[in-house]
Amino acid sequence: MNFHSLRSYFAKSALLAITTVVSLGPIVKAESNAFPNCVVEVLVTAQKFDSHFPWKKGRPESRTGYGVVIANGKLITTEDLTRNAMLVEIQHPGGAVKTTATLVEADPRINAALLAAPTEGYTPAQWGTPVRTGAKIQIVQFDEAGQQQSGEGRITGIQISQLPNAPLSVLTYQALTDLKLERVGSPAFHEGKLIGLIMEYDDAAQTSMVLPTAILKRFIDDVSAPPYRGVAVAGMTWAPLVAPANRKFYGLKDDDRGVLVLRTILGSGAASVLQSGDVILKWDGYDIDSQGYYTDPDFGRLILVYQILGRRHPGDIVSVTRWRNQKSEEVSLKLDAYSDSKSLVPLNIEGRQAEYLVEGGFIFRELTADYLLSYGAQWMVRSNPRLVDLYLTRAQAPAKLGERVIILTGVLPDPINVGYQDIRDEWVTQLNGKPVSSIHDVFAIRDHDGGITRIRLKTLGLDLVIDKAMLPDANRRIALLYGISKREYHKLQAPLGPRRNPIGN
Amino acid sequence: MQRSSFYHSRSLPRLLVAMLLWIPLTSLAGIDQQRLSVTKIFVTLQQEDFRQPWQSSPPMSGSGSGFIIKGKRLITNAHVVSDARFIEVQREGDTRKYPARVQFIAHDCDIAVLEVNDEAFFEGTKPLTFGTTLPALNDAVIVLGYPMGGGRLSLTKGVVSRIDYNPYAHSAIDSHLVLQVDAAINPGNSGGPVIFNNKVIGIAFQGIAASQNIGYTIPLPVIEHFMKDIEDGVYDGYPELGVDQLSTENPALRASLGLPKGSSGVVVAYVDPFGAASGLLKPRDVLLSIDGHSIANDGSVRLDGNSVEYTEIVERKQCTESIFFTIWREDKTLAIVIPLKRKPDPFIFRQTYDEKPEYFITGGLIFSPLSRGYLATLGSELNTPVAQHLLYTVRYAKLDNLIKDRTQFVLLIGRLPHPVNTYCATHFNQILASINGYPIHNISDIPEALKKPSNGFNVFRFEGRDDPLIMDAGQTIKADDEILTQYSIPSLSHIRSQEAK
Repeated sequence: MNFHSLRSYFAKSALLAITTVVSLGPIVKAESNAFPNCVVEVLVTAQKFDSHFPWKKGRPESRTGYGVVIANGKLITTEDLTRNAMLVEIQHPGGAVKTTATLVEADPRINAALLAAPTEGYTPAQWGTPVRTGAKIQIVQFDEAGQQQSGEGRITGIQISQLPNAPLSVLTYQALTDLKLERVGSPAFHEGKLIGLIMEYDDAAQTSMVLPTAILKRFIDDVSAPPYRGVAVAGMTWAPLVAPANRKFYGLKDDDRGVLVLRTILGSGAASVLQSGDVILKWDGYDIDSQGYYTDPDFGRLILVYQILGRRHPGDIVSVTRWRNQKSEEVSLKLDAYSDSKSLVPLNIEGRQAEYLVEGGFIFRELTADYLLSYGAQWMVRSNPRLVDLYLTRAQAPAKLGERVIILTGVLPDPINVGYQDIRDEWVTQLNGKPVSSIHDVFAIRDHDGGITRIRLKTLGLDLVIDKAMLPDANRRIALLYGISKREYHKLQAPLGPRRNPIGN
Repeated sequence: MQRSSFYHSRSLPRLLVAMLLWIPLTSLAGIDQQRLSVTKIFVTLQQEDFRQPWQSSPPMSGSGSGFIIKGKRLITNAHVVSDARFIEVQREGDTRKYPARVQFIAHDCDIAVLEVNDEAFFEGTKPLTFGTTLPALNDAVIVLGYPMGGGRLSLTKGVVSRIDYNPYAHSAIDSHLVLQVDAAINPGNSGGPVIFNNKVIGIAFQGIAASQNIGYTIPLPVIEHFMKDIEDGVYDGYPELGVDQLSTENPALRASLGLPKGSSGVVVAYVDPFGAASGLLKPRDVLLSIDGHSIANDGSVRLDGNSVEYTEIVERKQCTESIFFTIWREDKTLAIVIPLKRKPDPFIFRQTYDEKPEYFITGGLIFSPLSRGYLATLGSELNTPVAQHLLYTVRYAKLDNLIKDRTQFVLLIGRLPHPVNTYCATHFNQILASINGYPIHNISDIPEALKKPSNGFNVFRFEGRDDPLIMDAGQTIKADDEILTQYSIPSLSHIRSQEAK
């Protein structure tokens, strides 16, 4: 997966939907110190592991963005800037002196990252309060010489929208500005106070997506009180319930309230009190309309999602009024922490190294979204349709907790695996006659049996068999021939819950 | 025969770029006696509209080539005369055009036989005759036909470059033997004869876009198979063995199967429930020989001095014949006879022609079975998760048992907007699971299920979706009449009888 291929699939056209362009006039101006001296350049060298040959790393890539000093020694920026970072450095805009920064915490779920670095000489930005549509803002960036450029803009929308580099949604401001923004992380101010960081800029429409401080502030508060808890989730999917026939069918009174629960995720808080076909009338004290909106005290009309991820923490208990069997009933729902690792097909947005085993030339790993996306813009067509379909239709629906899909990504040709060398991208259901549903199973079977010699692929009526006596020599030979530094990577029992994205991994 | 391998195939893109050598016609155009028998074929056709299945495309015209064979008939490609409404043929040097009619059409191997009632058409012509053996590589051949670039007969020369299995683009799923030549073959050549030693040994039929000097022709064995098939007056098509196999090249695999030293063969990995081998062969069976030809570990057999895949022997059979396998099963050698019957396989998803797509309209919702023709209309929508699920369904319906009790996957393909369906603009291209609790196995289940609304509502449920589409049953019936008039639709449904399927 690279930055752009992910983006090309996930990027939504939300920005392009804005058609009324308010003329703001040319406001670009070079001036200095109109805002607190709180902005640094963040220089990142990132390197990602190869999805298909998971012992290898890709080419190092350089990215530049901005970070904002929010307290002495602390800076915030966007997570996608620091993703897979090997080295993070900061420098004064236009300066030449670089200082190494440490990544304290990064959460891809909300695209926020906290850095630690010396910040003498900077004035921390002050947190602003939420702004509403129509608010005037100032966006700051620097030219090559380090001259500050500021552009005026206006908030044109507040909504839950998809992050630029992840298939996940958060609260965002849409802002219209004529300052041609060059990098992510540019701060946006309202009345001199920080109201968000630029995540994406659309040159043609002159609009940008801003990550609001409401999200950033919660993130910083969370990091400051370890352990980091992350973002709350209820564990369900729902759909609007607008059609009069559907409302009548579910026996709802005609008051335009309520959304339909579609599915609950195994083991989630929602699964304990909600089921498919329930209607949610009220959430945490707020009426939910038939499209899923409520009136947020800070931001106005917002979709239910923000109630959960923006106003609550994992472990919080919220009251929910559900409509079931023609009866309205209040129930308590415990929110969980968002965790990619509970999925059948995890997203792995942050590009952690896959756990893998190379045995007899067969490369085994778990199926993740980033594996499929590594096929590039045409990934849906280029990888196995069965694996694509698993991700698109069943990613969130493991049959049991911790279930994953083991895939054979390919075979490194060697005499031991003759006859099987064209096989790639197949779903492995059994090894040595035992079912496998996670990489831990693969290692457990290998350790127990002293090697993997029988491989069963989905819908194949027989095992692929290799010679156990040849295995030790073949493994050595294959590692040498194909330059495999480590024939396996196993983190032992991976904890469920939000994971850090440690530098250097 | 349809060929697939059990693992993900990479050969698909090649099939997609193969262009059929048929030209839309706007302008017109031997060797001694033979050239008099090579004819131009003018076709007026209407393609089916899989999006609006009650209507066809506007009439279009095109042309191809053909040649006279014994019995006062003509041979051409199936794709030249598919979806034809009116066909005319014209001989070199004759100004008259004669109406023709399709007598036999084989979409799986892209061959058709035409008949011309007017005796005058055949006056002075001598039917072309077929050769008995294929030319070898580097043998010189000539191609006759009416390609683009002029109105009159064209002759090009070249050599045989390759003889191989290749996909036949017309049906989108079949592969057969193909003779590749470097003689220029261009749009309009389709259906024209390829001559070697004054005998027909092939029919020009397809090329590869953006390639040079690669022309594909349907070779003698495929033509002979077709001619033999139609002898009884019906075209049955190729039998499908329905077996996916693994090579037994790996010594450890051979040992695990207990294969005796010195024996060779391929091991059955999957048996298609709709294939001829269903119930007779099973996974782990090792196919040792076919009709007395021993099968090598890579699946090849020696045939006429050449090494070819064992499936070539199946390929040459007719549906009434049988195959004799010796197999290795549970440490014993067994003889297995597989009668080759043509079993209807609703999940083969071959491109269809000359038949109206089935559909059913209720409350302005248009339902139609999943088909390759429908998928082709999706265009850029193919790169969406919903369409991707349909592609997966087409490919894995049998392997992953998505069929359950179905004979069709019925889709919601569209909506004719009307107040009754204002809120039903979702669920497009999704597979209908049930109506009012009655499972939908094929499109003919819909009318029955609609007769039993639940509490006055018609509840449509879709595969993998938990939110149903719900319509007021009373309003639906009223709305249907208005929708028919408003949108000029001749009928609310077209459902073929079960027998016709």
